[in-house]
Amino acid sequence: MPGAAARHTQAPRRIPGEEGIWVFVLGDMSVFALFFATFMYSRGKNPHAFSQDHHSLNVALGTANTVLLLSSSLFVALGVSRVMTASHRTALRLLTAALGCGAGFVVIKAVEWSHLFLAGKSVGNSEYFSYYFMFTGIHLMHVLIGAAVLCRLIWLTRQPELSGRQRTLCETGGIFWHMVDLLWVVLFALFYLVR
Amino acid sequence: MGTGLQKSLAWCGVAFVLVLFPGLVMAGLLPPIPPTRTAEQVAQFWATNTGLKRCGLVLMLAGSALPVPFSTLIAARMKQLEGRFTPLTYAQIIGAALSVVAIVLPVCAFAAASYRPERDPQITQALNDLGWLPLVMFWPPATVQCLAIGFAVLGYRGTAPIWPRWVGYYNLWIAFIFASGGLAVLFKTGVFAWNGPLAFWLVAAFFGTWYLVMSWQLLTTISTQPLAGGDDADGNLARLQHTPT
Repeated sequence: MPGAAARHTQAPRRIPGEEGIWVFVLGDMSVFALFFATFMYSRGKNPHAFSQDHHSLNVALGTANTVLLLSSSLFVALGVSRVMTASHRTALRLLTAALGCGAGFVVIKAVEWSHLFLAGKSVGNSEYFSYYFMFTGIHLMHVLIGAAVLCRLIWLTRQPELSGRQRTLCETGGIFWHMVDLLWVVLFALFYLVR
Repeated sequence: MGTGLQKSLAWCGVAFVLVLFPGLVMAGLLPPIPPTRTAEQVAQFWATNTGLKRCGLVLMLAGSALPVPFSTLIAARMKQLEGRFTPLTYAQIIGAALSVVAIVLPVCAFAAASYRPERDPQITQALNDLGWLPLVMFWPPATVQCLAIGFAVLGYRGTAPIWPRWVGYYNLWIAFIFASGGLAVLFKTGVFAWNGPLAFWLVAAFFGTWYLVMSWQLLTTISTQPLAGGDDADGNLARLQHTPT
């Protein structure tokens, strides 16, 4: 990363990834912002029921998932910077580690959901859990798409040489993964931490 | 194809919005009647201003096929992106055609609900449900349509792109927005119910703007990509030379 940064100081400022991905990222984040606003609004109207349901969530599992996604984001950032400096072998390992963290996230989410379902919590049961399952479900879709993107990047970095377009694709995929991570951090704060 | 015809097809997207939304307002569907209303309240709703509501439904039905010519122009442009092998173009056409059902099916149910104000309210409520649920939940064809456009734009490898790449990302994003009404059957209240801000208002707003944005992009393309004006063979040849095989 320091090498890449030094190289970029001379070059004119450029947008990481391709420009179009930022349309997607900003669009998606504004929709999630709307999600968060509606959640806070409903919570403000009914604080007691929300805080009661909040206690049924397992904060330890949520924290584990946050750690997993944050580490995966770090791996992706390092991996993409290795792609930029053409050390593909290291990039491959880092991206695989990120994918592993993503898979771990999905497994923990599945465990958490099964526990909640067994405890009789589900969509439509209570306002809090409707929000919880909808928002984390939509986020989980993002994680799965992100994992598919990571698979594609891992497959790409197996090649010894990458074209400019393929390097941009790696950066773009990395940006998407960071967005997935960022959205989870807000979801985590909203559902697990806010009391 | 002449530019006049292309322009007409592109404007069909704008026309669709200009017909559909006033139709929705006239039919009393904006804002949506909450799912929690009793059968008597629903029957009362359809029994008041029935004439105006029926006219609104007729207007919606009249507009329902405007996406057809509009999406065929999108398809013609996508074909230029895809080259000779055009699966995404076909997916887009089929998605657009099936999306028409998302208007026609609810309109028919609403029309039936408004048809006999004197009948048993329970039946009117069932018909009202039968209208609202597909109107909000019928997302897969529209999502397929947008994904097809998105992948065609982003997958283009040649040197003369039809649309800027953000159009591709925009379509991928919209594809997911359209899906957010898909779980309306699970809710009677809240943001994901058929009158909820996320299941209904968000999708309705983005559904409308998507047609406007794509119309705008199609109109811009007519001036920036003036090929295929009767000289199809030359145009395709020029494009084939651009496209690496």
